Amino acid sequence: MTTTDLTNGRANRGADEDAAELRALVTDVLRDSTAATAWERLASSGLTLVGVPEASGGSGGDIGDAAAVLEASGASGLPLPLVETTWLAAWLAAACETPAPTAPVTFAIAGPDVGLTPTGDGCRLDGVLRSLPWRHDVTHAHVLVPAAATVAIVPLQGSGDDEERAGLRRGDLLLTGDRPLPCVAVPGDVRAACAELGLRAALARSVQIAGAAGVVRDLTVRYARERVQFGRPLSKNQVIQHYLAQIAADAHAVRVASRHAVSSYAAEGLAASAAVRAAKAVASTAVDRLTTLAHQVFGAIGTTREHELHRHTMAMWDWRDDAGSEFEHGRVLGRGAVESGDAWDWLVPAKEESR
Amino acid sequence: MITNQGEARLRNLARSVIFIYMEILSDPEDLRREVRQFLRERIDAGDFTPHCNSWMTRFDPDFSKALAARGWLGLTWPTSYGGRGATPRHRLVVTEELLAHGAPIAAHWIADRQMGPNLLAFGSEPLKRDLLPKIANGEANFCIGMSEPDSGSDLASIRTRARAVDGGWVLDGTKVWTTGAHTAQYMMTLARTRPAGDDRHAGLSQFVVDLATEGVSVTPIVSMDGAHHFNQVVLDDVFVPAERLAGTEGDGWRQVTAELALERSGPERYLSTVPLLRAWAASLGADDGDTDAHRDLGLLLARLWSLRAMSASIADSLAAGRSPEVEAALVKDLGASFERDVIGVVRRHRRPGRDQRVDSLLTESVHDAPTFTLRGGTPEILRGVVARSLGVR
Repeated sequence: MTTTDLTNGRANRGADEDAAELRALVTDVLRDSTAATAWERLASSGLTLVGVPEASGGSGGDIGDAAAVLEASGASGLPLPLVETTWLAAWLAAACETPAPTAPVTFAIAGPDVGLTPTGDGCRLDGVLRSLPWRHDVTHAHVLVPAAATVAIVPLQGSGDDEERAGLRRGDLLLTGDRPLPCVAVPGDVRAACAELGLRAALARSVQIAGAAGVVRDLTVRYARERVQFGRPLSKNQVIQHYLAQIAADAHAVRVASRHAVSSYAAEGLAASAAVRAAKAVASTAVDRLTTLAHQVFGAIGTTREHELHRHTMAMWDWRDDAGSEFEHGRVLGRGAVESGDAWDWLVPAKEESR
Repeated sequence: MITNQGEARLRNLARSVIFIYMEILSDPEDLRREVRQFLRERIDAGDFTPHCNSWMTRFDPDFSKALAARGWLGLTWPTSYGGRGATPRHRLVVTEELLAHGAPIAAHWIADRQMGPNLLAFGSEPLKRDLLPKIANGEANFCIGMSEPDSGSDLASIRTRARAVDGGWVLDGTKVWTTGAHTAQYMMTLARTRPAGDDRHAGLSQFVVDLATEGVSVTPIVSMDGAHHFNQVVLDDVFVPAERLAGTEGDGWRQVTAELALERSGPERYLSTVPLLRAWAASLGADDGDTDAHRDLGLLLARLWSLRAMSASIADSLAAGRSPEVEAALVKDLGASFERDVIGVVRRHRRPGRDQRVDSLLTESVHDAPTFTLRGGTPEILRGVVARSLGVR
């Protein structure tokens, strides 16, 4: 598959090959991993900090490399807080010129109901963070408080919740302000930083959905060929073949969209927000039909904790609503198009004269 | 083996030379600005009114010639055949703008999209020298002679026969759903040159039939809204000179399959109702507070964005010398759903009578919509193509 860039009018083949190699490497490293070992294995190969500058303790590489790692990890069905750690916390740490986290962390942008009080060498936080991803799986939360332009590092008390749950494994975090926390000031325009974090989260979820969509397609095709009913494999039924074709179409659309948005973001940063929103809207939309059809093909076994399918589909149901559902992004895109006066010109802007 | 590798290397080198040349020649996006400006001027001058589905329903040979005069037909073909040696990306930019502006491009569309490339890939040197420059000048328009009264989706079952005679072939049979046969000069005709044996895909061949030849009769098949773009073409002992055999005798199935990849993968498979989408979006006020309409518009634009990305990926595959049949089938299936969903969204939100353009574009889209999922392969056929690639068929 070639990622494409409509703006540059050509494909970046060298980068494509690198990305394919990285995806293969991650797939290889994660093969036979469990939820308990997956992070360690990735980390020992330096793969958890791909896309984070070496100056902040990362492995280097660009956003395309980071997306390759994320897409392959999204296909693994393993609970990995890569988006929170690498795409958000480490990115913000680099912006603050502080070291990237060395262990997996979670990340949140605090709402106005979280209060921050500076102390001598840090700060105290009061309030609640609802539905924090990986609440019981990581040791720290990096919490950006925009009103104070500060990132607080909050230690998390593990609850011993090692129940095998798919998805983002969310939980509420009560901030009682009972002790000072290490804090870092965010330099520059904190609103721009928030916007970019939102964009990175939406892009990352699209990439994860693309990874999971591909593996769900493969699993479903394999199952349809193996499962025999009425004396023949399910895949011999034309209606099943068409389900599989529709799943493949959605998986293809999501993959092209997410890779295209990654290229746009790599080239334009915040200016690529429409492309990222479009990719997230397309990815979130695709989840419904794709997971519905996959579960239909798998029948009852696909709905069990025992079977692998739920690790992918439950995660996708989480990801599609995280960092903006298709409806939220659709509304912003539509408003932008209407305000511009012409929907086509807005979607396909004519470039300024180059000579 | 060594020769093959050497050839492949030469081909790659040639491609990169062309690529570099085109980069210097023009950025596709510079071309977009040029095409867009031309179309706006034409609309402002009243030369045409934007219509949905215009690549199939709006014939204007003079407009096609005006595009040819700007070098926008045969864009990707070598200059030695009257083309411009541009990349598929350049062609994508031009065709996208033509379609999004609802321009009257049906006259040249089929020749430019698939007959030229077919001849380039498979045609004899004399045939290429004869026809390609004419197509690029907008003087030779084509229609597609594939479907027959008893052969729709099951194309290999066609009955039109070609028998060898002195100096050429004699064709007998009937073609239907032949878009534009009443304005075209030529029909690329699929016929059996040998009876179907065990391999029903063998023994098919393609011919360039001059529609002015004796024995050809074209009669309209009028659409339900009264429009005339379909035809029936009867071939009654029609003589076709030997040099008008297109490609190799017996190789027709392979040629047609390659053609269908081009027929399925282009932007006309998702832009047919974009003139309606634009007109409706322009009728929405930003301060309407109609956030549901904004949301549904945004969801459509996100899908359109992703279809464009997929189409660009196909253009790159074509540029790299691949024939992306499966990707093309995927895009056409998704694109046809998108074209229909535009109609659904506009119907949900429009206020009848508020904007006459929206109302009339909606009506014509509704009437044309059943064809979106018929032409160029039905979703049922396309999903079969995809299913085969998944190894389940």
